[in-house]
Order: sequence, then C-alpha cells, then structure tokens
Amino acid sequence: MPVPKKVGTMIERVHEHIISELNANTRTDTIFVLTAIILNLITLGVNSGIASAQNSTTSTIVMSAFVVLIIVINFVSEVGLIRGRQMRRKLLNGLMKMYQDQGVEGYYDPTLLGDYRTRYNLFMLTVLVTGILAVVIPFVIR
Amino acid sequence: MTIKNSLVWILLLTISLMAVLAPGLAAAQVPPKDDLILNIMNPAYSSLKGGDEKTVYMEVRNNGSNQLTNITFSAQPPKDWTVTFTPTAIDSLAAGDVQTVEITYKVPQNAEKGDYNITVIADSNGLRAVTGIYQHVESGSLFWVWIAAALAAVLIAGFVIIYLRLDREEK
Repeated sequence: MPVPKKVGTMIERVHEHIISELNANTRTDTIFVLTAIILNLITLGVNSGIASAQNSTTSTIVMSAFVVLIIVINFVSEVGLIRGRQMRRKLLNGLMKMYQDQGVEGYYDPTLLGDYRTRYNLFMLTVLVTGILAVVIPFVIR
Repeated sequence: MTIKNSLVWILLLTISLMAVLAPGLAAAQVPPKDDLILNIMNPAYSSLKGGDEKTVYMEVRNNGSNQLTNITFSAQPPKDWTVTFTPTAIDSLAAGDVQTVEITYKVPQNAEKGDYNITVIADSNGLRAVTGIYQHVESGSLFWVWIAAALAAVLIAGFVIIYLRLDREEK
C-alpha cells in the first residue's frame, strides 16, 4: 500500500530527527568518557605528586578534595553513560519500528542493539578502572 | 765587555736563586695550623622505615700541621632518633693521619615519611668540624593503603548499585 505523500514527508523528518538525536547522543557520551578518563589521569598525577612529597595536613586535605572530585566525576559519568545507553536504545527501537513499517527492517541487524550495550559497559569499566587507579595509587605511594 | 758580561750573569743568577728560594722561605714563615676534616664515606642513597637501623662510616682526617688530641663526637639528630659513635672519642691524631669512626643511627618506630638530616660534630680543644648525614624515611604504616582500599571498595560498590538500579529501570 503506497504511503500518502504528507505522511511520507513526516516520516522522513522523524527519521532525520532520530538520526540527529543519535549523533548528539554519541557526542555527549564521547565527552562523558573522555572527560572522566582525562580528569582521572590528571588527578592521578596531581595526587601522586602530593603523596610523594612531605606529609602534612594541607597535603592530606588537598588529596582528599581530589578524591572527592574523582568519586563525583566517575558517578556522574556512569549515570550519564547509562542514560545515554537508554536513550540510544529508545531511539534505535523507534528507528527499527519505522523500518518495519516501511518494510526495510531487513537492512538493519537488531543484534546491533546488543553490541551498543556491550560497548557502553566497556566504556563504564574503563572509567571505573582509571578512577580506582587514580584513588589507590597516590595512597599507596604515601 | 768582560766585566759587563760578568755583572749580567751575576744578576741572572741572583734572580734565579730568589725565584727558587722565595716560595720555600714564604712557606717556612706560615704558622702551624689546626684543621680537622670529617667525611661520610658511604652516603649512598637508601631509604629506611620506622624502627630501622643503619651504620655509616666517617673518615676523620687531621689536615693540619699539629697533632690533635681528645677528639670527641656528638650529633644533633631529629627528635627521638638515636645516634652512637664507635669509638666515642679519639685520644690523639697525628698531622696527616686518618681514622675511621662508625656511626650507627636508629629511626624511631613512629617516624613519619620524609627527608631527615643528622648533624655530626667533632670537637678537639676548641677546634670544631661539622658534617651532615642525609636520610630518607619511608612510611612503614599501612594506614593509607587501607584508606585507599576502602575508597576503592566504595567506588566499586557505588558503581554496581547505580548500574543495577538504572539497568532495572531500562528493563
């Protein structure tokens, strides 16, 4: 059954909207991952430097402040990544439904949804591991 | 001509003799001096922990021209450090002679991590020589390691809780 011209145009617009949302979602998640990893590594360097110097109350306070920063950054990053994954899943489900309605679902492999989940989990694991290293190493040096 | 030549030769000989003898005469006029030099012989870097003990050797050299007598040793260590000298004193040390003294120091059990300096002093009848021993101390306590382990556990637990909670929402 042919799709009316007006509906067809709307579907195209929705499709474009979903694609642009997916792009924005990718950018946001990339920023979350990179920011968390870079800040974890910077904090690792700063705290290691402080820990290798003479112990003092000031150095303990500065180190503790950076540890709090690491914890906050990592939790914000994790929540952001999980929300990003949920958003991507919803957008891709909508896209799949649209493809099914158009009868072109055969071109999109649904297992890609599972792949995205694995990729997001790996991102979160990387952030978590760098965060743990940034917390533990300076205290071991101390 | 011959007389002139002889005068020139006499003048040259006099100058040469003065050049050779003058430094010796000047040295002979220098009064005898007292000089004591202390040299830590094995200052190789090594870090210690609280409760550790270390022995270093110090060379005591009489660099003066007189014999030195009754050389006594003392130290100004950081708080709660103990320093002992073997021998505790040198009765006499002839000019140019060298004697080795053993210095043993012990880091207190509760010493904090850091760089420390032990001042070593030798006295001999009003003459004083001073040197220093640098020592780095590492923390022997596992307190901060436990703190790190606790923080890592909190981080992992927080991650798992947030992950499971938000994952359940997704399903």
